[in-house]
Amino acid sequence: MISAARLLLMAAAVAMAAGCAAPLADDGAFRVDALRTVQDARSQVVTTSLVLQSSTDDKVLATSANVIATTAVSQLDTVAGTFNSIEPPPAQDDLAKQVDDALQAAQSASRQALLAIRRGDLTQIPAIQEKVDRSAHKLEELEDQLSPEQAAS
Amino acid sequence: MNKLFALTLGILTAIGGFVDIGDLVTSAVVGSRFGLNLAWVLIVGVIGICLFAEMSGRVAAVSGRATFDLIRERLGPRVGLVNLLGSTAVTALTYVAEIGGVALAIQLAADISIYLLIPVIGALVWIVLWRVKFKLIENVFGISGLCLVVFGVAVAMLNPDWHEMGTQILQPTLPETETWATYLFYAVALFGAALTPYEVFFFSSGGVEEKWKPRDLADMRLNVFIGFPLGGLLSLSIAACASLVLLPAGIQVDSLGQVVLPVVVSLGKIGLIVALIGMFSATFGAACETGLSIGYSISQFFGWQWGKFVPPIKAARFHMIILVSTIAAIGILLTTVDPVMVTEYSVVFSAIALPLTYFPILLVCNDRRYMGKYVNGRLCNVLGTIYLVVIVAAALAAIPLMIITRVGQ
Repeated sequence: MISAARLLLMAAAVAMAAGCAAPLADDGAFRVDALRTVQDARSQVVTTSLVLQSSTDDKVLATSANVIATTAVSQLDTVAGTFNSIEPPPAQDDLAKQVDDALQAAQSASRQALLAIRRGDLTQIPAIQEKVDRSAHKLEELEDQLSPEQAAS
Repeated sequence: MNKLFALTLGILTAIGGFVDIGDLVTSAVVGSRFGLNLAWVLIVGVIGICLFAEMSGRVAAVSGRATFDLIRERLGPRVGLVNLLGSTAVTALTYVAEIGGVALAIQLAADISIYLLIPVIGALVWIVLWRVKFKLIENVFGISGLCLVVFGVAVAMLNPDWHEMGTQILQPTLPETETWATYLFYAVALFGAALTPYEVFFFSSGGVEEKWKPRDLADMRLNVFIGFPLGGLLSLSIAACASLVLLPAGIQVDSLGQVVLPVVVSLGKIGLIVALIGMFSATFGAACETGLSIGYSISQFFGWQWGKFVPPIKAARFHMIILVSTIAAIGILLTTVDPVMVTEYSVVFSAIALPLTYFPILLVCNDRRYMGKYVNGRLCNVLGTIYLVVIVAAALAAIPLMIITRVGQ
């Protein structure tokens, strides 16, 4: 007969061991994580794009634009960091690289956008806006590619 | 004329004071992900809060005593204590979220780190609760909270397809990108945000503060049945704004800045400034209400002198509870926890705690010893019972849905 305390100890040990194990996802789970990452990243990039556009149109206060864009860039970094901490299954290496490339492009474009917003450098904005929108479009394509309907077909 | 002015002021205050950080964030999140396909939950929630706010207001006007004062007496100290712990924990979490919300609103206007703002805001809230008269707090923040009407103006300026919006509200469907689990999770969250427990504690204790009598019942009912639904329209317009601008763009709200983006797109700088004033007032006013509610519920349960109708020296323990909870809220926020995340959890936990708040109100309202001839009528009891079933279902579903959806992901 196992005592309640011992059972609790065993359960705690199993839980701890599970928590320490490296997160090696299976193919399906990895695709779900990738899709979620791409969706979250696109949300942040489009936010930056909207703020950039609003700054060009003189529709937003400089302080608010800076805060919203800074938060979006910081969230994008978190999303990318979380995805990079997941070890992809061997069959998904190509997908991992695709997502990683898209994330890097998005991070780079968003940072340039943030600098332009902070500096109030309106001359640079059209070129940066194009870059940001292109990275958002790339993420959208990836999102379509990873959507459950596409996966099923 | 004075009477009409007081009545109008009361209704305007109820409208402006309806929205808090939970409504702001949850409505925008829901709008950005589901369009108006969850607006029916908001309507159900507003009817529910009207129903129970009227009951708790009636208890205050007829018995001259507030909700927790009677809960302990009616349910006994043990059950009453469980009730107190559950409700106060949720209200304290909401208090943290509201102070964080004020900081985020000021940050958007002034670009100052929220970690510098949080202690200052906490101190300000405490000073206001200590020094400023109850009626003044209620009126100033309630009226200035009306600036949130700018979200409704933004909706109109965005030239929406009104027919499509009406269809989403009346014939809701599940968007292709979402699952039933997330749909239900956000339905529970929206319901929790509309029926936050502190609202009835504040409303009934406020009734005692303002010395309501049975003759004031008609005014109270006008405030509730006109003010709250119009306040609910503010939440609906925030969701509509998100559904018109953020949903098509693929933006899922996770910061307060994203909540105001549709106003920026639609109305530019002036709209943004008005929206920021509205958000500041709504969150600061709600921070005052939640802070007071913590003091009210604990003091009423233990039978201590409470309220702002007596000088602070005579209600020292009441003010001490507010001070301690304010310091704790500041401490929690300074751990760098995300206030928006705290808000999201607070509305879900609010849904879990709903039965603890609303069941005793229904019970007390049926007790002739307290209510005399003002006990619930048949219609009120039927509606109250139906809502109680919905409330219990939402409370039971909240945690499983939170786990299944990984907090709505």
